[in-house]
Amino acid sequence: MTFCVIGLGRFGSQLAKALIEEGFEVIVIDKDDERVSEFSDQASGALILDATDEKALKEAGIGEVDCCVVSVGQRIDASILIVMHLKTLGVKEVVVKAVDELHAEILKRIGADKVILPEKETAVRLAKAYRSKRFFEVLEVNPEYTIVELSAPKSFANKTLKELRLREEYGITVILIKRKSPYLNEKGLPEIKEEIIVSPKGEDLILENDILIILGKEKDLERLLKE
Amino acid sequence: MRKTKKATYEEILETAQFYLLNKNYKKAIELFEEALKEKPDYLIYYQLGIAYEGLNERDKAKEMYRECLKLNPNFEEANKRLDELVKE
Repeated sequence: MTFCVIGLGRFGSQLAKALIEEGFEVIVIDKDDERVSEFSDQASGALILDATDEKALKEAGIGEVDCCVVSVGQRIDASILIVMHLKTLGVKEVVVKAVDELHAEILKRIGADKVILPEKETAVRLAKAYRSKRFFEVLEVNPEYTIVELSAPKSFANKTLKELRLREEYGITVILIKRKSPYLNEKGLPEIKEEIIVSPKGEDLILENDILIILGKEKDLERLLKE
Repeated sequence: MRKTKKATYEEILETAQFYLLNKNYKKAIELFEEALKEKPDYLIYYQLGIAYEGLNERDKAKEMYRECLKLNPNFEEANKRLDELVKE
């Protein structure tokens, strides 16, 4: 998975560093040559350019990256323009840092795939969440143990936890099951809500499309992902 | 002739909704897409969004809600779902 981080302020540079540490290919972009030069050794590309210039982005091949994170501080107009360019260039996932709720709303309308409000997420946590495509969210408990959120492997569907013997076979514990449940609202329209089963018991069944939150050692979790 | 066709369209939608509510999302998507070909409608896009959410395919779900809102920008339910997905 390749990333592009546009804007190397505090959030952008922290995120770029964390992504590089996680072993991803990262291209960094900023208008300021000093900020860019900090990354010239570690990043797969460190470019000094104005990201509001669509042609410059195109020539730099930014349309090819899997995920682009835009963090240009208070420059609301710039962030809007950049998101539009990135979507035109065909970037699969565009993540933008918003200044406030209104900014977030605008970014969402023009097609941003994820909008981050700074108080809600830290750069490091975001980087870890990308560590594995199938882990939606990662939380390090201590250096050894991690809590991850993942889609239930297909082979788990319609089996109880007891039958799966996850603790015995993998040394992992399912601490929560999240399940989407569609229902009809008072207007007769389908809606969907999330049910959660906290600390599920042996007889609890795992269904297709369930999301599991699991505690375990990283190597055991990786092994589970190969299922 | 026209009458029969309309019934078929509604029948497809009804069956698709049945599958959706029974968490058979793939089958629901298949039928909703069939109905879309006949006549695009914001409610079909909306329900496709719900089905993709059921499959945890959030990007596809967002795409469907956005299509829905293009046809009916004030549709409260789709705005609500899209809001939640983008913030998540």
